[in-house]
Amino acid sequence: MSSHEENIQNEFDLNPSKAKSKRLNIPTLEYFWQSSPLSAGNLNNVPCFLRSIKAFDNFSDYELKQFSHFIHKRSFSLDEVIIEEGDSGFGFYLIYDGDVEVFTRRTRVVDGLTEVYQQLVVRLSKFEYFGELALLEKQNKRNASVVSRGNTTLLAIYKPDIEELIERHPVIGAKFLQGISLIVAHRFNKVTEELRNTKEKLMELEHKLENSKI
Amino acid sequence: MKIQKFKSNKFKMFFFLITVVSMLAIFTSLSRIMIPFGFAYILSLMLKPIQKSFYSVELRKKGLSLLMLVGIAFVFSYPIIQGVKTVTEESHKIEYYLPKLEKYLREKYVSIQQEVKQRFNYEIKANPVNSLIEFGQENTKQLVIFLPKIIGSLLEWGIMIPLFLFFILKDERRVRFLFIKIVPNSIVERAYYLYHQFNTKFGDYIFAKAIEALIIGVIITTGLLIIGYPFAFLLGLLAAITNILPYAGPFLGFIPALIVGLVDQNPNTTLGAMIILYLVANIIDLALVFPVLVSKIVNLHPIVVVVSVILGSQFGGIVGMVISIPMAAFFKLLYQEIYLELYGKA
Repeated sequence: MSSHEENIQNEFDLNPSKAKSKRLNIPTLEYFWQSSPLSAGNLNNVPCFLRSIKAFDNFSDYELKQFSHFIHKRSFSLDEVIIEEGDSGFGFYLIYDGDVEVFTRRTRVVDGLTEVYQQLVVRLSKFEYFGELALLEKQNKRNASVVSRGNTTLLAIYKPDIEELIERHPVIGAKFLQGISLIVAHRFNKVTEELRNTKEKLMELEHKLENSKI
Repeated sequence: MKIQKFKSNKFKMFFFLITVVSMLAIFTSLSRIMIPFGFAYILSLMLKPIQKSFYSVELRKKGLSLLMLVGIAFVFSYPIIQGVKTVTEESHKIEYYLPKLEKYLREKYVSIQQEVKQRFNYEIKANPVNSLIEFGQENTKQLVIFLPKIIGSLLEWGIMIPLFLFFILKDERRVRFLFIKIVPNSIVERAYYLYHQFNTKFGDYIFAKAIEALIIGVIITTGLLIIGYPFAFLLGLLAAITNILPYAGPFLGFIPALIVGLVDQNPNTTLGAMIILYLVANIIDLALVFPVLVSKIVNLHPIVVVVSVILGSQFGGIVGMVISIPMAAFFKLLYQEIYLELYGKA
């Protein structure tokens, strides 16, 4: 309970007659308390979930509530393919509940025959997300497959909804795109770091190879 | 690791297809609902750009829809009432022109008959003028018989179209989200994308065609008024409506003006000026309005346009002709998506 409400409650306890005149304010307070998207009664709602995601840090509660009207809740069962590598992509997904696995298609030669197989890249769980590039690129091709592991609920945001969001609520649209840019920048930094490490390892190996030759 | 596709998705797909087919069946069987709903849907797409321009004012959808309906009623009621009055007056005048037209056709036919007899010594026995007049009289009778029914339908539409339009403007997104819920996971992204593309292309095309028709209508009416040609408003309206039809439209709009010019015995009627006016209006349309407004939206080969218009007229009459081009653009998109799915991924 907030301190302001505690003060009002104390006043009620000390002076009931005075409290009677204040009673009119209670529904108003209740209204403001309940209308907050992040209030205790609504802990399981979409805005509250979005509040836990870093990309939505710069959103106000009202903006999160407005943004949640553009989101689709979709359920997937065990082993159901959410997105498939090579498909055209139009949606960005947030894991609301459950786990998913990300696979990429690889080829290997076994007994002289080329075989295609799916290699597990990463396992994602609640509060994580994937498919953000689909919202930025005009003709996006998915670069990995994502499969549901168990009963999974995802929050999907599709390209047409983002276009509508930008038209209807430009500020929220801009903040969302800023969030997406942060995600992309974060991924880019990670890839750059990994590339740098790989290069260093490669150079180390080359150096070792040269030394062994000498 | 083997990925199982469509697990538990079969039921969803079956349910989705059944829902779509039943909805289509219900809509097509109930023409009294489908026609006004179709008109309201097309109007809602045309109003979309106006609706978007009001988004910045942060109006709620209900308020915005109401405001738009009231705005349309306020802005257009006076011109519509005046326009209907003028066009009705001009239509009444046509009654006096019909005997003139009959006389003109008979005289022309007799002169052609004599000319052929003189030159080729051959007598034309068939009388197409009589059958044409009989055909006209029969159709007029039919029109008179069905007139109360037509007026009844128009009144019904007058109530239903604004009602449907209001709810489409207000609740389209809610219905869309509900519909998306039943689309199976495996096709949801693509289905939503196609739906969005179809709506955008269809809306943009209809909006562009309406603007194009308005421009042509205004040019023809103003031009005819300046040269003092009879039935300026009626002919302008006809030119605007027929202009919606691609290729054949401008020609169809020109025929009534030509007939009026030929039949009218008034020496002030300037047939040459009228022909130049129609030519100029159509050149403006072909060279300026169409390339800027319409062609970029659909981007179809001219042969595809002609074939789709013919097919549209065969299956859906005039409405079919109007919607055939955006439909063709949508099928092109659908074909590209299917092609990409079948061959493009490798």
